[in-house]
Amino acid sequence: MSTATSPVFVSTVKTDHRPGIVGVARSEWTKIRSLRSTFWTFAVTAVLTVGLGSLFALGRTSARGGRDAITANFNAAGFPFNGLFLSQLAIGVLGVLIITTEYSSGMIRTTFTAVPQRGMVLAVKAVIFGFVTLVISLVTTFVTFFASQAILNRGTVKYGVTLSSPQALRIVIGAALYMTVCGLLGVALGALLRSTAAAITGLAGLLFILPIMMNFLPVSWHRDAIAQWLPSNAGMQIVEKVTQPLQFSPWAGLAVFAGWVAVAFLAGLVLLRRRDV
Amino acid sequence: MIETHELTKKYGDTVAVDHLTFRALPGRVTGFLGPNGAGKSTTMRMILGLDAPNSGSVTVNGTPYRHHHYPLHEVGALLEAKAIHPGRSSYNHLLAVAQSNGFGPKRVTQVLELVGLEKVAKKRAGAYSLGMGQRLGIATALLGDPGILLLDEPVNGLDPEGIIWVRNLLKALAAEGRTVFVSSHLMAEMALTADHLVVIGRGQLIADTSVADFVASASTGRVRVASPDSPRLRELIAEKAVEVSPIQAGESGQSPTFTVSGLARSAIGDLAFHHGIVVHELTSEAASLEEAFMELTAGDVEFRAQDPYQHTPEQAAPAAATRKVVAP
Repeated sequence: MSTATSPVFVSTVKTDHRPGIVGVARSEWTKIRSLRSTFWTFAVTAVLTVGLGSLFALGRTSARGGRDAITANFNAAGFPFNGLFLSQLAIGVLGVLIITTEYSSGMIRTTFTAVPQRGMVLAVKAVIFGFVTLVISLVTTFVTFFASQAILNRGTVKYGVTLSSPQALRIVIGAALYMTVCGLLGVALGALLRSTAAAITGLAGLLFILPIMMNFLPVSWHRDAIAQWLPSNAGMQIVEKVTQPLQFSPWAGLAVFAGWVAVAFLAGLVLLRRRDV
Repeated sequence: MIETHELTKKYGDTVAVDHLTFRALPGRVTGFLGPNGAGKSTTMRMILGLDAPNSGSVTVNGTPYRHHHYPLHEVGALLEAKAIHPGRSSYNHLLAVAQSNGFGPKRVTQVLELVGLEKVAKKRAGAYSLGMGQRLGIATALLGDPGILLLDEPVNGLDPEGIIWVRNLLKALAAEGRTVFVSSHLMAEMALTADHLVVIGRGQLIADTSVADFVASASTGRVRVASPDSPRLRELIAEKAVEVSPIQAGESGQSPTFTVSGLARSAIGDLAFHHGIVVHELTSEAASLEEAFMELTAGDVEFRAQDPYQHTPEQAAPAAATRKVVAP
């Protein structure tokens, strides 16, 4: 055996920068930007939000549109963001995919071999993805606002509002925050469930199916008091102009939604540390 | 150096790795050998801190894997080929892994050239063959220029040229003083690549030995003899040897052959010379390494409790009954 005579290995390759949280952030940014599917999903989200917002504005102001007349209480700034009911799924699915594709491909083992601090990896991944999503969502919601207000102003009666109108800025920025939280919900569910199919089902169930199911329950079951706590119901209060009875105020509602995500995220974090990869 | 001590992993009632204790030392290629399902991959995941053992411990360079600050600088691992997002190019894949440990694009280019993937580096990895995936996996393992390499079945899916490349690469890496720990279920490949063998079956250590000793243990002690005058030579040998097989007719003009147990090759040659008998062939018959390997991994208590290399030729011949036990 050559053990005694063999040289002691000394690496000559030096690192370019210190590892740790900054390195992990660079790594996660490279992962996000290097996939074409990231661009496409963001594009679909933006097109859905702007497109549906404009479409709803068009429908609401068309000659035959809307059974009820537009009143002073009409939420001109928030109404176009009803399109989020669809685009929230697109951004949530992207959040799911950035983590579950690592599991389905086996990449997750390389990731956690390179950085054994799993909680840190998940947190950095969420922060990077959340930041990118927030920037793109802000652009999207501002474009949606200006496009839909232009359409609302097209007739002789101007229904549209400006950003300086009461609540308008809060609604436009709030809509972008809502989208970002939807994306982060996807990340949390992905970390928790690890499978793409399971996480997307969970996402659609929470954001989409649960609120619909709730409408079919008997009112005597305190249905409306319960329904206000549902993630999308609570979160969407951020685009409301007037708070209805048995609903949260805008920021409280968004906080409830963020709380849901925080719980899912913490559960994912705990399991991530405990489970075998 | 990789060191495990009484390492144990259970999945429910199934014991995947059972009180496994071994060391992989620097400066040599340690082959980690066992049938499919023997617990090789589970052991490797525990070494890397991906799976938590139920009991026992494992360290790399004296420290649990998770406590290393520059893990890629300590250990480079290939667990499965093509463990990469199919939509990402190998360049970006390697860059993302490199950045997490403080390495930059320069090092990525170096390892891409080292494994010969520089021409397809910008292509989507989904289009890669299994062999290219293995090369990319090896490139990932080499990113941090680590002192320890841990490779799970690295030659799977490679063409002959690729197999020889991996074999030479592993030997060269070990010659630089690195610890090279490579798993395989292919005995023949390990016989050519490894210096040392850690053999496991059903999660338990069966052998921890040099390859030379392992190969020697696989020899049956039988000698094959071919001679134009086989009947006469056979009679002469039969007077001395323990066991002589019946004569088999030679094929198409070849001399008839028979095998001898219990008499050295040189003694048979001398005997033939003294009696003036022409000999065309004198070959030591080795049992195939696969047979020796299967025999070892059959889970026979007798072989585990004692030195597995003291068995007699009769025991070495794989019995059909014990073979069945090999299946995981």
